[in-house]
Amino acid sequence: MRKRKFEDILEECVSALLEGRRTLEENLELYPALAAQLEPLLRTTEALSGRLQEQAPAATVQEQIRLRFLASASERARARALTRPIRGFGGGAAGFKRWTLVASCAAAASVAAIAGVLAFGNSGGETQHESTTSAIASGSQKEAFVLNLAQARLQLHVVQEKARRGLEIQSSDITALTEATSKLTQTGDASTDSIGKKQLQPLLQQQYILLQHLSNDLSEGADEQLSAALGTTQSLADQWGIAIAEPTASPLVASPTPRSPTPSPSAPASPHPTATASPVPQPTPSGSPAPSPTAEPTLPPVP
Amino acid sequence: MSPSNNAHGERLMVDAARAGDQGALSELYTLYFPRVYRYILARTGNSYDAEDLAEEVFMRVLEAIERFQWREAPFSAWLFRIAHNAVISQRRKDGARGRSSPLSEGLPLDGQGPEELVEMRLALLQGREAAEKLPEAQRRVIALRFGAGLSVAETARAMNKGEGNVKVIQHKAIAKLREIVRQRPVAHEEEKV
Repeated sequence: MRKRKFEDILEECVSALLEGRRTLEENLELYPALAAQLEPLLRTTEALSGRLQEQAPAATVQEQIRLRFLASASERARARALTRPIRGFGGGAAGFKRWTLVASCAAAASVAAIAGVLAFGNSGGETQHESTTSAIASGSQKEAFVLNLAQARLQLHVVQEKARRGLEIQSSDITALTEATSKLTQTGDASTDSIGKKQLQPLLQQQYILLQHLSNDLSEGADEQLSAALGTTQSLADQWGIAIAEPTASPLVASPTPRSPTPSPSAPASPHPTATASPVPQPTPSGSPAPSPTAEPTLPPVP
Repeated sequence: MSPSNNAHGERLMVDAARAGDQGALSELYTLYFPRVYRYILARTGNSYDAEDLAEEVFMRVLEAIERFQWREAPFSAWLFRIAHNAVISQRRKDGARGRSSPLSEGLPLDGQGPEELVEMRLALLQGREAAEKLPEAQRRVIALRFGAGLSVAETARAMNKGEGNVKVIQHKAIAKLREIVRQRPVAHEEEKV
């Protein structure tokens, strides 16, 4: 009984120590009768947890892993998008056959994409994105659009993350964003796909706001890329009949430099002496399913 | 933000991540990557292994997050069970290859004052002993509580044990670590003597 009580007290003191609510000395003062037992244990706890909490991977390593993680997530989203329409084919043997057919086409497209990457890699030619897009060109326009949309989202997210973290945004980032957006101009339009328009609208709006914001912060020489990116964004919006709202007067972020007048999409961005973007807020996750009010009492399987 | 302090916000974020929202996935990464890294570091005592395995854990999360369901256990319990499985799997591979885990070779030791060095070596020694000498359950409790920063309740969920049991294991683990350190003074102190 006594032992049990000591463990509860030890845990209380350990938690208070770890959370910074009480110092080691304050813990001992709270339980003077147990101070002799508690002190060595709490000192060990303090030394161990203190050092462990200081450990962190290098910021660059952490960022590289983040990009690989998000790229992998994007690839998975693409794969899901390719198989999504087949769920509407209905069940039964016929549905399964159609699923098999579409899956085979998807697999063929993937093989073609890989072959394309290898071919371009050997010739030092196009990027993986371009070859992937080429590979799926033989498939439906809608599938190509979904893939390109995922790619554009990823590229936008990369730039947003960099801006949010105050990391330097390279002109190559903007160029990649422009290229990803350009691919979307080649696949579909609002007259054939109202769902695509709904998906595209928030992307273009976020992209436009981000580019406008960056126009205040990017270094001289980045104007060309920025102007091209804004132009591509605007022309894609026009193609789909999407109205892009101008950024409101409320600041996107607490930027240390005063904002210059907002340039029009076709106008070159005003240069500033810094190449590091000030942080941009992340868009809040959209389409989040509402939490289920009912909870069941077991853990799901873990891979 | 501590996940345990903002369960509702975490739930929204996890649900959005399950739906494939890139922003939510990125936020989850920001929130949990350092904790997963420290958990694995506490288990393996090797910073390079910790980086590699932490990445592997997040890739496994991508594979499995669609199947994750909100039950009584929080997301952190599920996540650190994946991390635990990754550590065990790596240990099996290392055992098959006959590789021994070096002592936190990646941890920075330069630029430390004498007192800090002693404390660091104490921490390293504890880390190594935790990885090599403590029973599995004690290792996990130490890594989850002091590495990942989970509460006793979260640790209990991650280990499928009762909170009382976790407290007992925690007490034994800290006492054993203390005993190990007491019996093996660090080199710096020996030099001073």
